[in-house]
Amino acid sequence: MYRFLLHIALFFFLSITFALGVEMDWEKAYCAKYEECREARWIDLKQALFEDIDLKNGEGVIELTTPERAPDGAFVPISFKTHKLKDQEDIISKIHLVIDMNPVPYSGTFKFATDIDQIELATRIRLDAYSKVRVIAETKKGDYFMAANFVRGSGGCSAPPLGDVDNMLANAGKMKMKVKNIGEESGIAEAKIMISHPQFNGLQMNPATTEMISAYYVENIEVTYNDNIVMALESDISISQDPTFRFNFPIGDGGNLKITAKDTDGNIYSHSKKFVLQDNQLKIASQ
Amino acid sequence: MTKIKTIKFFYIFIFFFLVSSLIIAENKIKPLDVKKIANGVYVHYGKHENIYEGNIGDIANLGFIIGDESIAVVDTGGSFIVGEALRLAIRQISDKPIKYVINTHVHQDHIFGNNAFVPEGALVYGHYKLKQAIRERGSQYLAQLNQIGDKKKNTKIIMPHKIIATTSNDERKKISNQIIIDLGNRQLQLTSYEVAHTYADASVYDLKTKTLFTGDLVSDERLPTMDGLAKNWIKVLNQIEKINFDIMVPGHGKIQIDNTALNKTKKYLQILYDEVIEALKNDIPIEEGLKTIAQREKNNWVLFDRVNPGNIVRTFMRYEWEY
Repeated sequence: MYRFLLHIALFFFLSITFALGVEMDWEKAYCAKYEECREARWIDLKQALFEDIDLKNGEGVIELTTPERAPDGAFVPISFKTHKLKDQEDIISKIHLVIDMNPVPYSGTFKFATDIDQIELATRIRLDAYSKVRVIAETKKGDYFMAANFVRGSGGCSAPPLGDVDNMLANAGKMKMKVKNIGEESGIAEAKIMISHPQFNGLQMNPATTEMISAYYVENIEVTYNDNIVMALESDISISQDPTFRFNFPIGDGGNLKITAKDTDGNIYSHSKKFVLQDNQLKIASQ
Repeated sequence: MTKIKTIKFFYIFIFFFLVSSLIIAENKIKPLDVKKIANGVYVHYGKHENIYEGNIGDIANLGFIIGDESIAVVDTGGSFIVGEALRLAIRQISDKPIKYVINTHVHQDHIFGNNAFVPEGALVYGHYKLKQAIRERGSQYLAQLNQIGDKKKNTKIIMPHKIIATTSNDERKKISNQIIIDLGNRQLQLTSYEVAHTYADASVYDLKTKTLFTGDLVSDERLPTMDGLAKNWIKVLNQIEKINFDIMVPGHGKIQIDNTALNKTKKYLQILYDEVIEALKNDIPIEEGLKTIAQREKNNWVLFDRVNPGNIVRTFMRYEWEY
């Protein structure tokens, strides 16, 4: 009798493990759902992108803000800001953006004005799967500080273009800029630049033909103020349709703010506006 | 020794027998629960959840209408299994041929059960732009269906066979955005709308019982997903509220006898649109907008926190260049 009960118990144990095993199998295919799987991907990525560089904890140097859950995988608003470095002779020279689980994880290199205490930038990215989003500040002296947030969301890279494709192509390269003054005497203003571009990433389907649309996106953006770079980005396919950036820059004595963007077809687009300083505030210069 | 061997064999046999019967029992599709809401008109209520393996895409309201000669199905669920379960439910009630499947719009929870009806000879009807919308979204929806794992099997993209519009003989000119189908002593009026909830929304109106299936143009309980243009959607709702219906079946939530759910949907959309435009006019960044826009509607809806952020972002993006 005892042996019989043992068999029954063993039977239930085995069937449950078996049933669970069946369940687990297909889930494993969706790696992004599993933390250990995502972590393994980051270990590979880190080695490929930064080799043996020590990526220090970014606390106190760089702060990243992301939603916990992507409102829409194709448009995930992210922003980061930096703080003054402890080593006063050192400055942040570049900021790298990495999105672990995207088809092309290395998403861009940002550069900013060198004479600014605190870099601030906001933009929108595509998120293909549950992933960590990382910003890594590289200093002139060769230190690296990383901030990373986990964001839930998916489908951003294969999401269909928002709006009419023909319209988008016709409007590619149109730009808009706005400048907002911050405080009375901060010497800083916030620029918002918008570039109309479909940002096809090669993973979307053409609605009319069902063929995949070949990649066509902005890969280089440079914003200068009196010919000095205040924001530059070399990017890949992770920046959302109609790239939009908000960042701060030192206003100086006024001058010319100019955007230049180059896309993967080699088209170069540019747009500029002149500003004058009145009562410590930037105003659009009358022509 | 032999005794132990026999027990072993017995044990292995029982094990496989039970496991396989467990698997078979698990895979056997059970008919959906359906409710008769009018003479010859039935509805299945979807759950207010996101799609995951637990609900296999059974999250939208589905319906069917039985005429003297044939049956029309309105939306088919988020996977083949849901469509098949709906078909089994229909077969418990009637064995008339299912000749028509109408998809009210492109979203996966409404179209992915089509494959359960097409082999029986049903023709799929949809908005005149539904085909384009499916081409645009289909592959992404199929990829997302991985969320339900193995249970997605047999789910296929079925393109609509017929458009809801009357065209000139050479099909170049659209004469009307309505058609009538006849189920035998029972006529259904199908209507395509301008951009609203999506780019390809349609409604089904049973002239006999004055039952109106709105698809997701109207949502009750579950927060509507804004996947078209908010302002246009409000315009389309202004058209729909004038329809003389006795019963309205929204895409999600309970059936209605008046415009309560429609007005609730409209109210949310108006708030969403107004507050997005307000934010754009005042240069409020999208991150801030996400925290405040339409928040006062939060307690009126299920899944508000999951759906509202996407609605804000898509509305924001669509109107951003105008301000």
